[in-house]
Amino acid sequence: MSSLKNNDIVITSRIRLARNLKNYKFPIYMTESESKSVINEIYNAISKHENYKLTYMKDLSDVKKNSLIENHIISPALANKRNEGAFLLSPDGKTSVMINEEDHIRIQTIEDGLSLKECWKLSNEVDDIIEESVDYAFDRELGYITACPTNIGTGMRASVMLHLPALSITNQIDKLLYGVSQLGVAVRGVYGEGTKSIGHLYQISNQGTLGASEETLIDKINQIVMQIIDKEKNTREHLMKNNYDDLEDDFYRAYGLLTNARKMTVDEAMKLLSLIKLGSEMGITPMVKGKNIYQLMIWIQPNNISTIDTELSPKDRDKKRAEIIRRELLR
Amino acid sequence: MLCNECGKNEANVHLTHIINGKKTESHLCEECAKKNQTIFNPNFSMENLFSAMLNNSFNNKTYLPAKGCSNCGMTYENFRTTGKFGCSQCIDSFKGRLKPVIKSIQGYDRHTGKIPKRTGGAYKVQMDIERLKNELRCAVEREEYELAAELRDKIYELEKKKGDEQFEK
Repeated sequence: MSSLKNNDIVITSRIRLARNLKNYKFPIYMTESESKSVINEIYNAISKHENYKLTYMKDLSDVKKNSLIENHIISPALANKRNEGAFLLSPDGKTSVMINEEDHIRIQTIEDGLSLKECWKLSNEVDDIIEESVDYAFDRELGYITACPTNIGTGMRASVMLHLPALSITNQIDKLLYGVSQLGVAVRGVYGEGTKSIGHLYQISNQGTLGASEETLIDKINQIVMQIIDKEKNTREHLMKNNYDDLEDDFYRAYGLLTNARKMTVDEAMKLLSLIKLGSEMGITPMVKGKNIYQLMIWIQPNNISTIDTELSPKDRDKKRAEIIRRELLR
Repeated sequence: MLCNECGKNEANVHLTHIINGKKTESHLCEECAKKNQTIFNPNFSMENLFSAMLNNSFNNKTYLPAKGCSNCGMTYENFRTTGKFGCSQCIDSFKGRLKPVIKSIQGYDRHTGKIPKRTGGAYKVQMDIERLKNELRCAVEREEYELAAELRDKIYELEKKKGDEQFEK
């Protein structure tokens, strides 16, 4: 138990900055040629300093788009854009700049573990680079102007993805998340607003974007996350002391299913993978140790499987999913 | 079957809710179903909430029908329904009405975070001038004329700097 790292509970951290250009209408009201010129302005601005790869949404198949969503590189809203949307991706894949989503610019940086400060530093640098060449919409009182007033001010959303299986299986999660939401913090599913929680994964992010500096907003999220981590750790310790036999049985059953099943839906797989991740972190299922279960959770999402073989029907996909899981766990 | 809500019209919208394994059924007429849009949208998002607030905030006040945004033509009515601005200048067009709403949803109405480097240069000077002018007023009220003179000189310097910057542009 003592070997438990915070990184086991905090999966990733993400900073997103919303920015707009002063001289264009917001994306929903732009013509196609205006959209193109926004894409060009931003691409040219970044290309002066960085070597980001530009991809137009119109060049991507639906499967590819959805796979990018599953990998958290683009948002569902950008995927719905046709001709006018595009994104830039940094060579290391950590930073992406979505163009013409709800706002002209959405800079996003994702890092492993609890690392909002690092993400902010990287996003901030990209923001400065873009601002050198384009005119941002900025108001002295209200800060960065965004299409939706809920993002106005800093335009920053700081979110942390947490894996909270112990709090979930002991039915404490709803109470905790309700408490957290009273502190001006939003709780969302894995794939953003309106999506459900799968595999005991939760996203915690700042609700307000105005009236506090970026650093203050980040500190607040960090503090709340540290408290949630504490609660999850305590619950794990409690389970270890009081429910060891049940837990051990649950973990081995999950492992047995995952390594033997021939067909598996995404919901079942996420639930079981969450269990063996917990088992491994608690030192109960040592055979899973050292394997990146979260990465596996992403690979087995429907569209990521379809990118391997586009001809698959949902039934065949369940077979393919079971095959991937067996291969990865038994390797 | 008659509508569960009004009991007048024929029910032609049938809803089944399963919450925590408990099943409930409701039968509504088209009109009542329209009134109860939230039933169809259980994932009440921040944006939906915001546009709902916009609609409620001004029910007791009457405003003259305002002209749309001078840049993109977006009207306040239109903004109220979508909850989204049309362009960056909409903010200026609706600012008077917007500020209380923004304050109620964000908790604040003043940005204190990052200021863009290029756009912010002159702005930062402007902020310093405002701060000094405030101090000057206080100094005069306290009859500290020596300090007031110092502050006046500082403001003069900054105003000059601001003027130069604008000239260079």
